[in-house]
Amino acid sequence: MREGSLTSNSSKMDEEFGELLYKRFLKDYRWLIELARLHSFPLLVLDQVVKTIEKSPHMTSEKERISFGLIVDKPGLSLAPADIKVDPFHISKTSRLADLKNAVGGVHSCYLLDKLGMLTVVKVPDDCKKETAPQTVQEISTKSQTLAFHMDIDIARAYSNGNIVRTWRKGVWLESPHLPFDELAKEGYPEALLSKVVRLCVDMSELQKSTTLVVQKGDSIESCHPFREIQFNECEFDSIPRSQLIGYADMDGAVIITKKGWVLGIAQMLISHREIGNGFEGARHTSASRYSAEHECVIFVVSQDGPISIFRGGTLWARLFSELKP
Amino acid sequence: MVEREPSKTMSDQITLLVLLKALKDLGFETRRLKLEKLVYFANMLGRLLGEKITNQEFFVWKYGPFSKQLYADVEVLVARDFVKATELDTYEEADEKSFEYTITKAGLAAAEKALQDSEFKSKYDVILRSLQATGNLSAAQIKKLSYGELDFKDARAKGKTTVINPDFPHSVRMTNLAKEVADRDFGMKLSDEEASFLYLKLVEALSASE
Repeated sequence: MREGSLTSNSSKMDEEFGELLYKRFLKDYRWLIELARLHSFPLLVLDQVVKTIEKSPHMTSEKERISFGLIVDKPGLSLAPADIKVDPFHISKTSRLADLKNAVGGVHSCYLLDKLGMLTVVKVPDDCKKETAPQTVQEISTKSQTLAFHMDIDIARAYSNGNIVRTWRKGVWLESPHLPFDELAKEGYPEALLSKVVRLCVDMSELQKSTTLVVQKGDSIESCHPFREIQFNECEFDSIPRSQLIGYADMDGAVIITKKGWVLGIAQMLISHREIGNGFEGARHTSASRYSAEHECVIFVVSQDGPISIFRGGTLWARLFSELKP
Repeated sequence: MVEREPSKTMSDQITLLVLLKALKDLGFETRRLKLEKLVYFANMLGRLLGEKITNQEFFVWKYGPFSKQLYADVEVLVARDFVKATELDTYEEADEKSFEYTITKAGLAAAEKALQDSEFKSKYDVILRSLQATGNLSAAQIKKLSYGELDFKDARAKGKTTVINPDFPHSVRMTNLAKEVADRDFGMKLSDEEASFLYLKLVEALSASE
């Protein structure tokens, strides 16, 4: 018998109920436990960071949402004090965070979190500064091999040693996508290209924009028709700036990319001849399912509400962020 | 009520001072009702982490776990000018005049001295961890949280004034259960601290339904 174990029915009920809850908690908090271990940082303090981020939409009014960068301290990390100076305060003091609004946004200054959960404001080193605050915080995390967070309007990210480990959206801590691309790689789809396409899908999902991206084996557009009277000069996927790619992907219709990494067309209507795959949630998904049944390709469909569906051979091959489905 | 030995009473008063210093270090405030619960949760976490924090007897009262001995210890600290009790205009739910407690310079000096002793340093470390979960809560929030704590719930089922088992058997049992579930279903070996964290999540969930 376990220490303190009782034999009453209520205790058995407690244990059955407790088991169910623990399974849920372990699913929800395993990542946090692992980060606490990896970065030798108190779990209860990290839990306060998570709670604060989860509370952030309620800290301020809709029009005054705040953003901030936060670096988790570690031995040997030395960051200079920022121009702005405040007495250290505990991470749970959301009113103090709200008082500072966007002054600790992550590009020029960040919060530094110590093991007691106290925040101070530090200067971002010049060699870590990037165009945007999330990129800057990620760079600090990479260069200093630390755990870091960036809270933005309606989205937050946790970075561990430079990698995005979780993204908080719509009240859910989403795991970064890890897809078994080796199977597709054996068929000739380069893993690097597929990863870049997934990254674009994640960007679109975070921007709450829908899109369809086709990665095909063939070198020419087949069975497609442009939605608008738009001509497109073929170009390399890697040569297109991210913001421009987002612009193309945002247009009605699909972006057609070859496995060699060339963008053949944008705003393409996918034409299929077989009436299969009606069980999917919308026109984009049905169209992707049917088209992938008739052509050698992998199709990525991003829904406006966030989930990413990947089709091949007429079936749903993988689905990411399904937790976001309302 | 079981009387404490004088040495334990003295130790509890010093520990209380250490807790008030930890609260000040983290920038948290406390009033009487909240202080009772802060000590209760520190004792619970201490039990789970293998560190006895205080010896005060807690029993079931209208607004959660309550200790008259803790009350008396605070009065002693106030009388010795280690703690300042500020009477506030607002009332707590217990319908008593509300007092805010802050540690004085003399109290801080005494706490610092106590922390040179490994016994109180170990307690201070556990208290700091406990305050991460409880320090920022209002009196109403921590009272609600205490309703979800299993040893309090067990005692409450037996009626008001029931003494809460200071060995926290249900908390220990459920913390061990967290370790078992993690190992069996997730292949994770949890430390005492990690299992306590999950037990605190369980308490939060149970308190939400109170």
